[in-house]
Amino acid sequence: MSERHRRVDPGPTPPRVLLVDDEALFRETLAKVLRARGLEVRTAGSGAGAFDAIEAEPADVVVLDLKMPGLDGLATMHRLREIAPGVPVIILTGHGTVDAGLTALDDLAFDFLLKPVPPDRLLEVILAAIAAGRTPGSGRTKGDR
Amino acid sequence: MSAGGANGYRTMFRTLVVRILAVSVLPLLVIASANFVLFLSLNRSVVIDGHSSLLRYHRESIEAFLASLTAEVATLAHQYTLAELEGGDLERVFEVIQREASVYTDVGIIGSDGEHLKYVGPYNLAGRNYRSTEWFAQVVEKGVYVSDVFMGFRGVPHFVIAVKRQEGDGFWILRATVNTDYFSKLVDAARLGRTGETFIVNRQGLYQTRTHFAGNLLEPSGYPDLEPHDGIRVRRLEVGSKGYFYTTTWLAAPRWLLISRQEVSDAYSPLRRAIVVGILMSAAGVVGAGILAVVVARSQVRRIKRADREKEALTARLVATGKTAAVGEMSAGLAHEINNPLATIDTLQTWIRDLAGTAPIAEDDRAEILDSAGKIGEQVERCKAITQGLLKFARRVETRPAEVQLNEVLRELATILRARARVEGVELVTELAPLPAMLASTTHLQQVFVNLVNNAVDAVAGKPDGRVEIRSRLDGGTIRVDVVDNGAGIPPENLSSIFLPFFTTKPVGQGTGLGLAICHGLVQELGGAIEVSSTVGEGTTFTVTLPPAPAGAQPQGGTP
Repeated sequence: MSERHRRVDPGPTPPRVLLVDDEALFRETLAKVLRARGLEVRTAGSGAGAFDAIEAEPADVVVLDLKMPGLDGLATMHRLREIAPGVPVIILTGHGTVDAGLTALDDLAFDFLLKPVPPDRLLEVILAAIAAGRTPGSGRTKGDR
Repeated sequence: MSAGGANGYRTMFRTLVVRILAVSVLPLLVIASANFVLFLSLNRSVVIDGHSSLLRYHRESIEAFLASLTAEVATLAHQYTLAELEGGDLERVFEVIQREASVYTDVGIIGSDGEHLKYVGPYNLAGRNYRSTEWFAQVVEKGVYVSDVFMGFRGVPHFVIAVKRQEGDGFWILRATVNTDYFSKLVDAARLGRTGETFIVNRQGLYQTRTHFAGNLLEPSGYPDLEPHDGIRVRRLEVGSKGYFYTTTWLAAPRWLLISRQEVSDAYSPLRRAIVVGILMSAAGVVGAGILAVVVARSQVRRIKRADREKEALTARLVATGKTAAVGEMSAGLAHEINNPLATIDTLQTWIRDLAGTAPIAEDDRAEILDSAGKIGEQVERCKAITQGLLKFARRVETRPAEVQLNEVLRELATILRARARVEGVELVTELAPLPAMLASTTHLQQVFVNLVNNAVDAVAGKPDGRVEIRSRLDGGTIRVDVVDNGAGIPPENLSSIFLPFFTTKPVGQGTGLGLAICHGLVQELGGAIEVSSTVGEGTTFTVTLPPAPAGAQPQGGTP
């Protein structure tokens, strides 16, 4: 039994993550990896799916792709702000440009990560976002370092 | 791009020379010709006026001279009695009137019967009778008489001034002979130029004074216009083969014609000199205009050439930049498309390792699976390096330019890279000449030179005498940095594609082929250029030229 990855201390309630990405294979594999690290992960394949999921049950953090068919990541994030204010959003995208990243951060995303990001690195950012006390924009790993 | 190449420039040069000559020489020639004509007419009148006024003054002085002689003789005649003069006073009188100048040749007293009563002078004339001579008749009739020049008893040309003295019932005559040579000199005192002379002819046209060129005393002068006239008359006469200006005026008494003449060519010689000087000056003007035309045309053509070259360079750069920009856009899209599957692969291999870590399988298999999945992870990292390189190339992370001392940047990165070079057995040396500050992003400069130096180190890595030099210098206001290695060199066929994205000669997995493309793009953004020269077997030199900070440039965002 080699524990090659970090596990989250289960505590009373495990952190709840909503993972939104239009690419199913990536989304579901990442969900499994994160669950294996002790997170409670739900997934959605689109912006609309994300709204349904978060209305059905709250999440502690949302990991969001930028480029999706239908509603794109930035629009989805704005809508999420209204539905679930205070839930930090981490942008995880393969289409990162400086402009897109800056826009996302200005729109109060917690962080902006460019794919491919090792799942363990993502886990750290997720935990940091939750630790930042669910205060959007206050716990940016980049800005406050 | 160019205006028809070297031939075009030559034609342009020739056209310019002709045009400049036309606008400068034509007015010059017009002015010169106008001056010539004006000068010619002016000079003619100047010559004539000069002769006229000279002769007018001269006539007055000769008249005054003759009048003074006459007055002198008359005064003497009335101061003495015949007895006194005959008694020996005539010798004293002669001495007195001679004074220092030999104005008179001799003096004598003639009785009313024409007998020569007394004579003082060089000739033996005592006892001669003048009753039948012209002058005797004239002086008896008029009282005072100045004769023409005649030979007389002496056998030499002379003229006399005679005054009749009434004494008692009779009369006697005091007669003085004027020295012809003295008088001739006096008349000829007014001379013009080289050929000018002044002389007197009587009403018959016989020479009354000596001349230099015209003729001998008492010979006919042949002067055609002997009718007395008032004032000054100037005319041109041909004598023999030569043209002369004759200026004439009549003396009041005796009625002699005072003539001043000068060869026309001599009279015009100042004019000719002026014309020659004018022509020389015009010629100098033409030559000057010619030189000016050539100089101006050459500098104009050079300026046009330079402008053409700059335009060509600019166009070439625009084309190159356009190409780079298009490639950059494509690269960005490509990187994004690859990033997504890469993320999936990376997540999958993580999941595989997660599972392999806990699955109930043989330990050998577990190790094998973990190892393989790990290698997948490494390959993902490699791909990630490529896509990030592409994105860097495409996006050129915006950093603000500030005043930078390039030498400091080079020195700093040399220190860092020297460690790596030492590991590869490569000597890394710097040779930095003083440089002006430049306006650039330090990050960009570092990126450019780290890339170039790393490439150079790679080129010589493992060679026994591997050496990389970073040399900076100021070359005609441009900053130049050479990164020189003594590696294997780049084959000529590869030189042209070396700055294209994805071009690499390194083994698969060791180079992305983006380094030099990024360098190229960054240097262009800095307003500079990057060139490569290489000799196979000897080494390669990358030369980066960069502009210095413009004078008085405000560094932007100098403080982070």
